[in-house]
Amino acid sequence: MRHMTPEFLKALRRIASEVILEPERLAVYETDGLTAKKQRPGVVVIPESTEQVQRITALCYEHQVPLVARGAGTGLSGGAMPHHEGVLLVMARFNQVLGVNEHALTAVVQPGVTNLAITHAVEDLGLYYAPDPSSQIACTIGGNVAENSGGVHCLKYGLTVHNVKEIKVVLPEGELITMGGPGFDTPGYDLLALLHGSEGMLGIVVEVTVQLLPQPPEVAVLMAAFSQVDQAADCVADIIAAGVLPAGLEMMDQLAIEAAEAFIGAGYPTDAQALLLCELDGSPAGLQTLIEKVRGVIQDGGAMDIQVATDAEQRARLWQGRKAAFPAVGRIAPDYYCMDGTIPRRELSNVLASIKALSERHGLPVANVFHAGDGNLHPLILYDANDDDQLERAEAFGSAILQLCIEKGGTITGEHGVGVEKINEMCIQFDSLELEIFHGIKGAFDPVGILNPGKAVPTLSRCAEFGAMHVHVGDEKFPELDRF
Amino acid sequence: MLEVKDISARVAGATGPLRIVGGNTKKRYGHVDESHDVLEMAGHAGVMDYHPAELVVRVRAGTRVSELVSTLAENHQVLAFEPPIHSETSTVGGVVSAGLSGSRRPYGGAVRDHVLGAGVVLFDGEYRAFGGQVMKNVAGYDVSRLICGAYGTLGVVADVSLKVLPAPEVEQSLALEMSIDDAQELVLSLTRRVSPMSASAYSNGVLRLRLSGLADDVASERQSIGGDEIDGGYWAELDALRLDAFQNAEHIWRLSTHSLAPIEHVYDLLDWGFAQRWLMDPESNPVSAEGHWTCISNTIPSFGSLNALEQKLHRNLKKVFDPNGIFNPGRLGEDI
Repeated sequence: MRHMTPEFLKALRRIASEVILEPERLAVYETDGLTAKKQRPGVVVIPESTEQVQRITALCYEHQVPLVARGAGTGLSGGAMPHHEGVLLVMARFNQVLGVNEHALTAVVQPGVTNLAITHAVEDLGLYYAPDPSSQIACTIGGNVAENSGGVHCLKYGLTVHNVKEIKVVLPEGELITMGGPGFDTPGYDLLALLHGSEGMLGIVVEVTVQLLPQPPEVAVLMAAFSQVDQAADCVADIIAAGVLPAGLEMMDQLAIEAAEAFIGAGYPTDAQALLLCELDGSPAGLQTLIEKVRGVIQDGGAMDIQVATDAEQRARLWQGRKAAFPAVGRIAPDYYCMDGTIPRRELSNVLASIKALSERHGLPVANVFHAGDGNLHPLILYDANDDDQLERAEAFGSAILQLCIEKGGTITGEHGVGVEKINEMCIQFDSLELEIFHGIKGAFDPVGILNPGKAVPTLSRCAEFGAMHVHVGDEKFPELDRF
Repeated sequence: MLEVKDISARVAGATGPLRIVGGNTKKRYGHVDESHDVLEMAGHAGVMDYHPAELVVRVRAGTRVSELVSTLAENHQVLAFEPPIHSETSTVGGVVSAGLSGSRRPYGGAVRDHVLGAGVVLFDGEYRAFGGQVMKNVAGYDVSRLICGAYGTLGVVADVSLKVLPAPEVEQSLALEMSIDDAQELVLSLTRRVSPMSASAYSNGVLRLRLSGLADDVASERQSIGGDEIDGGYWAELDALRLDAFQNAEHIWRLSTHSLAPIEHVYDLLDWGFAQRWLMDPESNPVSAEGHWTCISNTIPSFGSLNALEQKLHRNLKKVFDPNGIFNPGRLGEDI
């Protein structure tokens, strides 16, 4: 990589009108949703057209200047953390819904359109866009593609990759390519799938065609409170085993329940050790069948309290506590560090017990919210960022949780991405042979390595330095030690 | 039993190209070079891990699709992409590598939508694992989806982890005589709202539909649509290209387009909500304004073509996975 020369900056100004170099304005962009990692960008550019993105990319390629694309900056793994000697490409002006086809059930949108704005644009037609990451009010669809974002409704309706039909992408040399299409497949390799979750390393998304769904006629939410975590975990498996595929199935532990209740007053029983929220949808008759089925499972599972909400207001109240869980936890500690591992659901009780032990060992409290249906765990580690020692302990605690997820047959990231945050843990989940293939894929698209350098895939020398051993599923790193 | 180490040894010791074969039921798909050494995968079979409540099954690539489907059925579960089963010997590795989905595709998703992870043996004979056995996983590039539909040109698929779903409570298939325009309108109107429709096909003036789901929902939809009940076995026959229309065709042309694309030919059959269209032995190679054609044939097999930029990316990727060009070279097109 080379430095930005005056000649480069001059060329950049000729392409785009909004080029930011003033330190005080650059400071705005120095972090994304992972605020612990900060880096002031070399320069910020705010393009207005695909053609400008192509020319900026080609210029960066020619001058070998790093280029980092950024949507709304809500990412939680530092994927949009700027490069201090590179360009930060802010896609905020790409904020138009270009068209809706209510017969084909598709919407063509620019990458800077927020996730929720897509649904707002089509809800009068009785349609919606299904993936709903918790930041959906602010996060953009371009970022959703880059991270393959999930949300509460993934189990039934899938991730971003399952709900995008076509993308237009600017490749590192400035060429524009279309991946996917209006049909159900395209010739050759599935590049559309490959780009999802590629964290801005392979190309810059400049247009997205999303699949829309008809709104379900009826929706219900069941809340079940349990006096033991194990009971709630077993219930999750039993609901699935009963042949029900809930639209959403969420779990909260005692600290998360308490924080949410103190913040929002959703009516959760604060003496519960665990709480399940189960959303069901369908036709009026079908929904009653599903509610009775799930209610039966929950009763048999020993729930201490069950509430069923079918009207919109009651449903919103039950969901409110879950949706406000993060800010609620934010009220009981100066900072929290949100983790994102996935585990096989049958390991849930074990993993929660281990996290509790880790919490004691690192001397930091933890609240757990959990996309229980698909095994995606979000432990929130409470700490004070002004205390360097606490920050260090929070990071060590987080890393230990991720290693635990791998040992239990899971993954270090379910939906937040690797970014800069989990780059060391990639060395544990994958061995050098697999990492080499990832570097190869990167090179197939971006031989010079200008796009988002240093993110998502660690170099082999970094792994050697990190000193981590690749862990195979089921192997524990020091089997002779007590595993709490 | 063929072990991963045996596959690794075959690959590492290969002196020329290998033709990877499961049940050998898709030899009419793409250019098959009979002169290449055969790597038989059927011996690498069996379910490795299956916990029904996790909705995940991990199987070796040589496992027969028919066996996997019955194992899942015992637990009231299904593969939602409804793999075509061309014959008893069709393997999971074959279905995944060919990226083939059945009648439920428009309503339940494609193979790649249900692949959670894959173990592959690459150019150096080394086994590598990508993805995993969990529903959500964004660590590393999505290699396990990339190998779906790659026809073995990137590596040998040794095992795959698939998302499975609860089987529908009831299924009912029906036939309605109607014009193609009316049929298209009906299917479109069902897609426009939440409906238990799980398959649709039109041929010779007859629209066939399948409804899957809760008994109440299927019954009420059935009442609103009408039609005569038919044997649900129709769909498996269609997916495996065993219907009469397909039986004697030498060249089966398939157009993959979108549901609303103009109907430019007199098709033998249109399914997937009119997005997949079939022509048997046309007088000349068919063309269309939208979508791409595939020809399933012993003599003129072809997949849709790639533009120059796509070709560049394909060649670059092929070089990463298969630098020596030993895996099914040419199967998917020139140089890949």
